[in-house]
Amino acid sequence: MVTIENLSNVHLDVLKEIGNIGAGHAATALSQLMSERIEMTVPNVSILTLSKVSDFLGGPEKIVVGIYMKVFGDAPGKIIFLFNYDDAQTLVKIVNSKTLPGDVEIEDLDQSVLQEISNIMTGAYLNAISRLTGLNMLSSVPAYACDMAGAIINSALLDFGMVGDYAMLIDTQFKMTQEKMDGHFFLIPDPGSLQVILEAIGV
Amino acid sequence: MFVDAIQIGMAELKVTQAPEKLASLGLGSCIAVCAYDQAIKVGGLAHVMLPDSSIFRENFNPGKFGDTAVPFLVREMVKLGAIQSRIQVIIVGGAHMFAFKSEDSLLDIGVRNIQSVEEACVKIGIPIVARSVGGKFGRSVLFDLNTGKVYVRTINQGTMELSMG
Repeated sequence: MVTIENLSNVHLDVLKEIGNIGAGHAATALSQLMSERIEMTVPNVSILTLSKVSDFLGGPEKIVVGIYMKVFGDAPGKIIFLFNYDDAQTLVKIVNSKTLPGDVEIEDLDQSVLQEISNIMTGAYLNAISRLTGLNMLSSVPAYACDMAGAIINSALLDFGMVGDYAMLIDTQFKMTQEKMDGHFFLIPDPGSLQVILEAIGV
Repeated sequence: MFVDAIQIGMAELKVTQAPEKLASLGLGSCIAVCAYDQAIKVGGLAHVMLPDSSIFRENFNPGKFGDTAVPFLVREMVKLGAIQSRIQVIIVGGAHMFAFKSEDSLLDIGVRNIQSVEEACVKIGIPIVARSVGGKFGRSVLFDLNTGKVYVRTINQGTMELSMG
């Protein structure tokens, strides 16, 4: 049984490549939606002890916008988008072609815009992974929160607590070339899905 | 002042005495259990992540689960001279960060965490004297072992002070 504690370098490379293919499609989808060039980093597979999870991404109290989706199907898990508050505003502004002053709250309609962007990107991401692995993967409706980064990210990692003291996130950062905007896309496979994904690839 | 304190990460637990300060930043559905013996200023904080340890067969960290964190905190405090009948508890956290309309509230981990800590306190007869729990927002907690005061910071409501009884 493959667990987070005994992943080999080959396993990590496979997970990175899965993230890469998924994120590539997601970035293309976002780019088409925004008519902007989107750059993305090579995914990082982060394995963290539960007690240190909050320390990455600029600290547990940083105010971020998070969009959370559950993944159902053969390899269940979670997907989270995280944006700095300013970057979430920039994203809404570009899609809506409107000017938001920096200190205005993101309204209900803007939240829907962010949820829909996440939905479209997640669809592209999971579709690409499904085609690659032959696994059936579907996402739930997106849920929105604007709060402390720690509170948002920890809530998605509870399942790891039931099997051990480590959490794993496949993290891809994406940036816009023209505007100053960047965000994180996390795929968080449930602990039991690791083996399923790796077996589907044949490693 | 929150960041200068000893940080208690998810599933961690620490027992110590004045003048130390303990903190957990960015709690979502997790719960900070702050236990205190006012007379000798000994206290502890557990950053509880899940309600129930019974699904766990192997060795695990007692701070992670509500049902094990409370008795473990009390035991460790007694080792430092605390008297069980003097110990009081303040609980903070247990929020529901992402609400899905279709979801059954019985599955809400925040609510179950609150219940499990409450039950564990009742079981060993430790009173919960103050609380800031539930809702849909994150919280940061600072526990000052000099005064027994617990400070709760949220993004929209500023900082609130809770006192041991």
